[in-house]
Amino acid sequence: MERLERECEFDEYIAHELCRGYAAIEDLYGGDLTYLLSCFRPLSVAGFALPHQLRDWYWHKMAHFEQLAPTYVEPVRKYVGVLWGIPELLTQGFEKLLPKENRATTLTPDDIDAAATVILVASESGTSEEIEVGDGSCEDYKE
Amino acid sequence: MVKCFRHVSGAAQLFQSRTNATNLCSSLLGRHLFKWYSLIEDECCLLLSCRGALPQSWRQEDFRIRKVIATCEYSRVSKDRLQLWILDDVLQATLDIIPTMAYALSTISELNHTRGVKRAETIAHLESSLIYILDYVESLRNSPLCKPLIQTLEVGFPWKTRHSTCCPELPFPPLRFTYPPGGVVFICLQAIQLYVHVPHPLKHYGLTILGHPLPTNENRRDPNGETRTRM
Repeated sequence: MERLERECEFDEYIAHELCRGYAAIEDLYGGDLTYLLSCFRPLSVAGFALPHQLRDWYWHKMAHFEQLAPTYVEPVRKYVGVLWGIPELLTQGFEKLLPKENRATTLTPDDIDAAATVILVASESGTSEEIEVGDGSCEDYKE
Repeated sequence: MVKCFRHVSGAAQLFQSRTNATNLCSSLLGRHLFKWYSLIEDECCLLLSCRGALPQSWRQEDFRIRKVIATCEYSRVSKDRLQLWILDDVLQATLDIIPTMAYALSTISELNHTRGVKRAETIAHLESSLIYILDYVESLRNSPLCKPLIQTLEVGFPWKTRHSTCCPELPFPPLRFTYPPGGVVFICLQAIQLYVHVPHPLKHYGLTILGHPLPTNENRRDPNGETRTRM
């Protein structure tokens, strides 16, 4: 248990430093959205282990990215929705919802399976698509 | 995303039928094309928890050729251009580990469907993959080319950001990068490290990787059978 606690603290520390790094980049290149977009994927990983006190800040950053590239943010909405226990995030997005109190859960193998079974919910325009992913081999996706 | 991966697979087949890694990465245009391809493949593989469409040997060849060119050309360019060049090479080297991450991620999904000895073997293989990734990140972070790129300076409070009106105040002490474009390498390295530490499902199986000893060998053996050399 002690080791698990230590690992959680270590994860939070990495996420904390990642956010600090992003904030420094954002402050320098805030006007260059294309540059910030290249930082989006690394920043999205911070959502896996974000300390509670950073969640409000992080939420606002995701809301900015949502305005810029909603399609990019959709997978993050799924992961954060599962990990932070906010299922409505998937349909409503960061912009419409306000950050809620921590309801973080532990990632399980089922979560990874669920994330691999990507479901694109109906967008506001009314289109929908459901996709099943197989055994992880690229052969599954060949035409 | 699946449709996107179909296009990636198609591109991978074209690469393999029309050229090879050495030819492709020998020209600047080819390296840029391969970099563009790699970014999209990485995105798809991490989001779909699946394996890449091109063999990892292509990334290793790109890495090898970049090293050869760096040896000849680094000394011939101006300081400004050199830093940008190093940044490009280090960033590509950082992202070269992503196929191994995607491989590990797809293996985690397989744990749900395996039992007994097979599962124990899969977990052992996963553990070595994750430790390999952490070693790779650590050795890159400490390499002489990467260190100056990710060097940071502490900046004191109070600090007013460009987002002071639309976002909450910074919840941490602000910092600066001594070479600002290098910040993207810093956050990529942090993200990879975090991505490897976070797979809590492995903790359900009693697997912990924190504090593992770092090997001192110059060459490291990829658990998937590939060999890499430090930058």
